[in-house]
Amino acid sequence: MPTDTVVLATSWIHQFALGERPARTLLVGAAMLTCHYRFGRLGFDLTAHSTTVTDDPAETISWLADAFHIPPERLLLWRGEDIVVPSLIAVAETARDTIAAARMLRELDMVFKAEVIDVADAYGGTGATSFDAIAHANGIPFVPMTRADLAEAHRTGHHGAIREHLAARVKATWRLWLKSREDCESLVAATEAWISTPDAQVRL
Amino acid sequence: MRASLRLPDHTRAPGAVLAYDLETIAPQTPDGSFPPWPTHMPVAAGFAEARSRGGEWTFDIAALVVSGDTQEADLIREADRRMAAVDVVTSYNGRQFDALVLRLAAQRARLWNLKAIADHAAAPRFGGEHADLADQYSSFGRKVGLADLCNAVGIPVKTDVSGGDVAALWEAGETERIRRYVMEDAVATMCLHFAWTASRAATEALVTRPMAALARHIEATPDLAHLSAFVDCELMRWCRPRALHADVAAALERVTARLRREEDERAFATA
Repeated sequence: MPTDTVVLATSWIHQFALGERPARTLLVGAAMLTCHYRFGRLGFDLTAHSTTVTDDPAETISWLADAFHIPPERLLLWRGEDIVVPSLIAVAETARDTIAAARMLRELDMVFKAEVIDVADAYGGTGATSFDAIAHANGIPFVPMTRADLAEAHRTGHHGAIREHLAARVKATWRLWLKSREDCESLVAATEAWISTPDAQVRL
Repeated sequence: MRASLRLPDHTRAPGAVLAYDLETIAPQTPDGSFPPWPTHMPVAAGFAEARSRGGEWTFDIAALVVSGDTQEADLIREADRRMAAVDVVTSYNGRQFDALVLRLAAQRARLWNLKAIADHAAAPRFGGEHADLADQYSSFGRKVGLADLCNAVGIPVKTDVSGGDVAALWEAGETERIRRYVMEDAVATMCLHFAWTASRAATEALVTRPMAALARHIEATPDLAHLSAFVDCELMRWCRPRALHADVAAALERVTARLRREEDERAFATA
């Protein structure tokens, strides 16, 4: 039985219809921060994936499906109800690769049977101000990526920009969750110690 | 942005449901008992309408109070218009009170062409057009109050005033408090209807998905800020995370159907 807590962040782009090709939502990036206990020790694992203009759009969909093959005990999201889940559903429903889409939804179906926490609930829920404003107000460094910047990174094949942005987002979401809880001193200390190591940087 | 979602095929839910509640005033009886229903005059009506289309739920929540330019006849016509536009009307003890009061008030106002109210008041006991939750929850036996059921299920109700306060509020001209109260009762009735429907169909998604959509509607509508108790209630806190799973499950069903169709088309093309 896994006891992992996973933080998930995703980025997507809406692509307008062109000729006979219908509009679709492209999953251009995803990042996961896993907090786990192994042999009595707390550990973190940061991974990310991205797809740009020259890649197969199903790659990140398949990566996410593989990453969730073993569902975590707890999933943390930011605005899951009106941002993350609807965008993932839109990605699956408009994907040209139906097999990859069905596989991702099958894994997500298992993941969402477990505990799902919307970290935004502690910061005003749907009435919360923007993620970067809340991170900034809580002293967590985070530089937002605008829709235009994301589109540019996708257009120019800049995987690093997408992955670094999403990695920063999952780390900030995790720290916001810790701040919203009590009795987390040991977790906060472990997080701060890990953040200062090279392992806290996403690898391309 | 929210993707279009469709309910799984095996679930059964009406396309449009109207929950309503009336507030009335009546002359006091000598012994202080509840006045006979024909003596009641409607002074306010609350409406909570939920529509499911393509799996997406939308809401229309409103209330009318007889005051200023709004007359009793306007309230009755509005009830008829709203009842005509839905598949199911749900109420709490409407079969024994609200529907009878509405029908008699329409006749008193000489409004004879209100088919929806006529059908509603004459709806058969075991038919599906009028879901009287007081009957359904008691299995047509001894009824209990709406608040007893709402408290048990975790739905807020009568958070400010109760039905017994309406006469005094009416006398004091506090129409806004009556409006808020009757609207709250209508929304509580609708939430209880979702709980009943999910339980009866043994399908969790029939309560989780509409409740989550209701929370989003209240949060997005500043005029409904006084209904914020529904966003924070026990039932809603239980429903919202589970609605995410229901959304994913519904999407999986649709994509799996698409996958089967594509496989069939490929098999046909190569045959």
